[in-house]
Amino acid sequence: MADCVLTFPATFDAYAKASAELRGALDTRRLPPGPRYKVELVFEEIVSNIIRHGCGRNDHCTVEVSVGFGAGTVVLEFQDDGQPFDPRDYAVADVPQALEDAGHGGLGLLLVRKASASIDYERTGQDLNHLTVTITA
Amino acid sequence: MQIEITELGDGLRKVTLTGRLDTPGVLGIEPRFVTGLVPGGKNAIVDLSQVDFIASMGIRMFISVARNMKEHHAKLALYAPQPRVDEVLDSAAFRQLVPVCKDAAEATRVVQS
Repeated sequence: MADCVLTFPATFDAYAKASAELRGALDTRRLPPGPRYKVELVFEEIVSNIIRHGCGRNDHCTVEVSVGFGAGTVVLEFQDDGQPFDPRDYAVADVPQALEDAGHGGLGLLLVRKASASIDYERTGQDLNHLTVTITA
Repeated sequence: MQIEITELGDGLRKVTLTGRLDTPGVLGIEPRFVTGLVPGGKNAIVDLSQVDFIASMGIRMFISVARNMKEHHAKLALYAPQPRVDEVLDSAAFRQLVPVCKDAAEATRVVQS
């Protein structure tokens, strides 16, 4: 059972409120600074990707994020009804060597991969994206 | 997220950012950050000491502004990132693209060299 569940429309206004609520929940857990930052970072990157790309112009898209605190881990589960997207299939580009070559996408997923111990995805029978990200706490 | 831009003279501007460079934070300041730094061809240093969170959106903002400033023959350098922010900049290999310095004096030397 999740320790914290946030459900909100896929808009940046709603995301800002949900982010503040997540931080409030994290305040009560006293995670070490490193893992706490990773939780916030993964939340930011995944949710902003859902809003920007998964849901696009669909005003009725909804995001649900569950956060579970276990022994030595934090598990975040993201569920949305946007376009199918498995982040494990996305090939992150090589690190750019020059300013001119930078900023073409994939940085958010790169940061998520580096912050996570594991990433699992399924497209559910209800036609939802379900992403599970585990962070070592 | 709050932004303050100061003219330091000698063709140099200083930007002080306070708060979180997450998506809402970036959306709130990006127009002013861009219009305050890109036109005019002046070098700029950015104080990160009061920024307690950064993600890909904030990193992309710095990359975009640095690239546009370069086209105007100006340089951008950041300085004094908090430890967790510094780790994210390292994860993104950001230093290969934009200098990240220890303090304002070093950042100033870098952009004026």
